[in-house]
Amino acid sequence: MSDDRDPQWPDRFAVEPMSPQSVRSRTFGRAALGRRGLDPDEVFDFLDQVADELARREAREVRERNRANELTQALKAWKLELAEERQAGAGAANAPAAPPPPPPPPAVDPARPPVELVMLMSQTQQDCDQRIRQTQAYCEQLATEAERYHSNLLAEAQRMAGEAAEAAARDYRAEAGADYSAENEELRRRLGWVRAFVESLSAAEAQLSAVREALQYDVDQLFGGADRDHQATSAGS
Amino acid sequence: MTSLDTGRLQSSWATIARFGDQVPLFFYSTLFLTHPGARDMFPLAMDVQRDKLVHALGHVVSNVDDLPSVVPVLQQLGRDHRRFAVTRDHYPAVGDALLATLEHFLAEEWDDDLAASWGKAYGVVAEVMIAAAADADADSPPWYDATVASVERRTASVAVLRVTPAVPIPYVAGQSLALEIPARPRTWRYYSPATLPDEDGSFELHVRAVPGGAVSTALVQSTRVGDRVRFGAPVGDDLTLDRAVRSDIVLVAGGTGLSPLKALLGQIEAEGAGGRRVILFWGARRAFELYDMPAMERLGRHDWFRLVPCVSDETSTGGFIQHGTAVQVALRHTDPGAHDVFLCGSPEMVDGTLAALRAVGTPDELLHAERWGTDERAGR
Repeated sequence: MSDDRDPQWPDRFAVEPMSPQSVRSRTFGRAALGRRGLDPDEVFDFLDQVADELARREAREVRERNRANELTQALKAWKLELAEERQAGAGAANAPAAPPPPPPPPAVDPARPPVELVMLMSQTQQDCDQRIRQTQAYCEQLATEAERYHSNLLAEAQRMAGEAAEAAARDYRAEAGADYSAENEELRRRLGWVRAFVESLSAAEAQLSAVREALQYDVDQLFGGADRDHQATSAGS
Repeated sequence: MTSLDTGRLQSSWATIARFGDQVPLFFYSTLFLTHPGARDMFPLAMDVQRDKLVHALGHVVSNVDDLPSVVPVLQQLGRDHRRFAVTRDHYPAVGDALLATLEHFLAEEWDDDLAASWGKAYGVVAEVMIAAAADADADSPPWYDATVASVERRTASVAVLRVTPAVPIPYVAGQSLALEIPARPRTWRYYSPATLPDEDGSFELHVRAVPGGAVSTALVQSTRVGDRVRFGAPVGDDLTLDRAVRSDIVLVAGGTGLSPLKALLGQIEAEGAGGRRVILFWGARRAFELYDMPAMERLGRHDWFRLVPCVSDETSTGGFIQHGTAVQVALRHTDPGAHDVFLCGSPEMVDGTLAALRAVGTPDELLHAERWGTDERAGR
């Protein structure tokens, strides 16, 4: 099989396998005082659920591996038996000057692996597919919520800016007296709009960056092992 | 020499098809157990792959009497498989796994004649695919390596990338390229270049992170300058300019569905409009999602081109932005039977737009639509 892929093309990720224990014992740093962060109880509850699920799957994997081993052993024993029988049969038929018996034909066609193994492999692939689907569904939900939040934030900023613009124009009309000009009113209106818009965006930005930092910290903790070069500081905490 | 018993082939496939996903599961498990090296040629998640296999096999079997309709599909399939580094040596292994699968599910129904029929049918399929791949090898590489030259995050979910292939990719404006990124090995998605190639062969890609989409999300969020990516050969001719029947053209784009249409505008700009007039209705939910306005406004300097941005979820947008979906605005401004319409967007947007245009009597010969460019899950 020819494989002239570029050697620079990265290989599969080399990631430490996660164990129920490593999930349960994972600790997270606390968000600084006054900063928003995730509820620690919720995080740890969730980690427990993940660890339980992982343990369940590990147990099943081991059971299935044992079963596959048993099957392989049984198959080997059966092949051996078959070969012995054949040899004994050949020996009984023509006693003294018999030619050496032909080697026993392979009991299984190499293109036809035992059905049990095929089933096992299929089950494993299905589990894998299901877990990927669940992860994708979860990411989809998170991303959709984030998009909606982002969109609402902007709409709200625009609405508030609109109100502030009208208020600024009203104030101008009240105080302008004889100096009133429609041009100046429009100028005040626009100024009011921009000021309020920038203000609400800044407020949202501060709020978002706190959430983002907390999230980034969690992500760094989770992937610290795989990505240590970039996160030398957070690895020890 | 057995002749091909198409009747039995089809009736046995009908039996097989009743087992659903079990059939491709068994097939791939057998293939991977007999040839463990083959596993690395497939993505981690196999559910989409299994659907594709069953679909392709079903198509071949149900049209086995009508070779002229099957052969072009198989040839395309053979050419497509070049980018997965499939060689002629892989075909016998697949044939063995297929026969083992059929034998398992057909049980009593399986006999030597049926085995010979299936073996022969697979032989023809393999032969056609191998020949098409060999023909394609003569004039193009199996894939194109490229480097990310720039990444611009335009909105929370849209990025505009510029990529430079090692050798120029011979695509035509409106075509699509399958793309593989190192973060998601062996998972390919189709994207349409948004520009003609520059002198160095580089071109622009518009990517929207589809929520939960494996490739698009990684592309938008974690692609860096210098990343290496891979493209397959250009495909698709539904959106190329030579499909136009009339002179004047209406472009209808939803979100990043803009990209192939922007490439068409680039082609018209480069070649000269020659009396052709073009109007683009570009739709988004909100004004800030119109991520490529400066480039579009620059094109607006040409007197042959008119840009109509459309926003569906905001009412008081001000300026020249129109309220409504792109197709609603297009129907207010154009005569649906008079011009060619090129459209691209999400599957919902394309289906909705086609339905709306057909409802007002636009003949099919004027409708040119492409869906895979923006749909993360539409990768073939």
